[in-house]
Amino acid sequence: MKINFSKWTINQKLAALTLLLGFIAIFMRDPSKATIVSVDTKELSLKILDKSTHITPEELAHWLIEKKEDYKLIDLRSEKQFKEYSIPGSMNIVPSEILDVKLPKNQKLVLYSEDNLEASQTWFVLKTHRYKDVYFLEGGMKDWKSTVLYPTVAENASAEEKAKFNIMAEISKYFGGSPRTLALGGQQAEIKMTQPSPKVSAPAPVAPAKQSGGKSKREGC
Amino acid sequence: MSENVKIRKPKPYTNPYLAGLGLGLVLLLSYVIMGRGLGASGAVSTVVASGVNAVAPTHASGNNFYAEYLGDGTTNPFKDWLVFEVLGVLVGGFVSGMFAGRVKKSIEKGPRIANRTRLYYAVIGGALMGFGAKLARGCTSGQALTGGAILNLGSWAFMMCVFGGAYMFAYFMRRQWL
Amino acid sequence: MMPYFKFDYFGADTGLVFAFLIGIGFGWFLERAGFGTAKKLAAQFYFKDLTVFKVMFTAIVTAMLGIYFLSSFGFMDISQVNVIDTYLLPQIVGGLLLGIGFVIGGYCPGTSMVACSTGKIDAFWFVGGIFLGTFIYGEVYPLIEGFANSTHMGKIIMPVYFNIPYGILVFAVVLMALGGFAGAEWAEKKFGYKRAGAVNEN
Repeated sequence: MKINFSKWTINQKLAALTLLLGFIAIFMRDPSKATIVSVDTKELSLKILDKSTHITPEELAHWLIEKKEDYKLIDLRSEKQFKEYSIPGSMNIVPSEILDVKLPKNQKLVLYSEDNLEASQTWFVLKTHRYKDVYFLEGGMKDWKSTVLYPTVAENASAEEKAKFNIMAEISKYFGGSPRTLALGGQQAEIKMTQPSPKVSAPAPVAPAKQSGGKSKREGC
Repeated sequence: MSENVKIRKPKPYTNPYLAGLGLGLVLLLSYVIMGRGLGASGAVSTVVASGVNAVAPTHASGNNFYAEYLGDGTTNPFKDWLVFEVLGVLVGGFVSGMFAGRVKKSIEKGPRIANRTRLYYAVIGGALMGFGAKLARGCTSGQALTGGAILNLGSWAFMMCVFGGAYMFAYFMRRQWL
Repeated sequence: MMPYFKFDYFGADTGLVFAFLIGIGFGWFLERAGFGTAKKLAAQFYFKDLTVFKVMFTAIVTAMLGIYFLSSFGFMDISQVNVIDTYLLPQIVGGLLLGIGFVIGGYCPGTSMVACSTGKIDAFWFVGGIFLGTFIYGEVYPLIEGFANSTHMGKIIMPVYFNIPYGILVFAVVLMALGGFAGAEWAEKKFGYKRAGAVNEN
């Protein structure tokens, strides 16, 4: 049976093409199954390799001192922990809600949790949803406390280490922390949970406001 | 045709399937670029809401419907996607009409009714449309075309009701058209 | 990744420029199809000229296939595409009102704009009617707010609601449309205006 396609009218050709496409559609991936995301593995592995996935507490401290405003700081811990103490300028969003908040995808985001685990997991989730500029705080709140708020140096440390310590001590006081010198042979005492008086006046963490104007206005007819 | 005849004969309409294809591609483009489809009645709502707001601002902001179209006061409500789109529609329709010789002052109607009557029916029809479009959150462009393409449940239900309602009522309007 | 606006490729102001350009395309094709005249539009409901059905469903199928393929292949993130909330009962009632208004007025909002721009006086009156109807709705809204917001089903598309795979529904819509077109061609031959080719009536 020979089908002479050239004899078909344009309407018939369109109809045939449409029918074909519709038929193919049955076998394709269902896009409404929103739980499947795609990952740019090359981009991710490059970022992991050159360590541009995270920032150190010292870096974050500098950003805060310099009053940089080009990023959003997000505290992933529970509300209780957030109220107890949070890094100035941070806002509290738990990982289960981070996608619902619909943060702008092009803005620099810095995440921190108690340590690395939740922050890096949430970092990954955000990356799979095409957030472009995401970092997490290396070491989380634990390292923030031990490095920035309560930096320590042993009594018999080298001059270089002592110099570094002095810098951190100044920073620590800026954030209301307390630097300590450890006695020779002394154990590093457990870091007290005393709330450092925030001497840093942080810009009030603005709850993610509904984007005004074009986007929040309904997009219907 | 004699050279003295200046009247341009209107050109025949495009094959409806090709016109539909073109329309579909424009709709698709809108989805690709903006993530939204087309619309028309929304632009009218913005204008009405702004008008009411200009005359009676407290009344407008107290009314949930008007308030929705006025935004939150930070941007000019006329900087609205649909308003600009409708302006484009006017231009596009005009240009196409010019090329096809179909721009002409006229009143479209069947032979059995008077011009006046037709105009009154037009207003009534428009009012019903305006009201219904707001209830339905869209008109044929916004709901049927746009929502139809994305297989939106409400849009398809709406579309079937539009055709249903029109066909059912067509009998009563036959004097206007036939 | 599409839709480009949702991934911050450009801002809202540029989006307005796109709105204008897209609108031009919209108006162009509506006029090309002959929707600048109420006679052609109304003829649909007397089975004399089924252009409305043909154009609408060709457009819907085209865009539907485009969205489906782009999303399925991963070029478009369908979760970012705007889905108008479903308010089932108001939309049913609104649809009926719209249908009645369509056959009384002879236009729908989009086509009335095109008709205005090509000089149809009845279209101007129709548009005036839309303003009136919208205003009446606004004034009456506080009374009917409850109804207008009833049966809110949120953003729901048919594949999810009926739990049928998206692709199968796409195919079903294609079949329905093609069947409808065949039927439309038959109906026009039987009931349609007798005229040669597709010359319009003026």
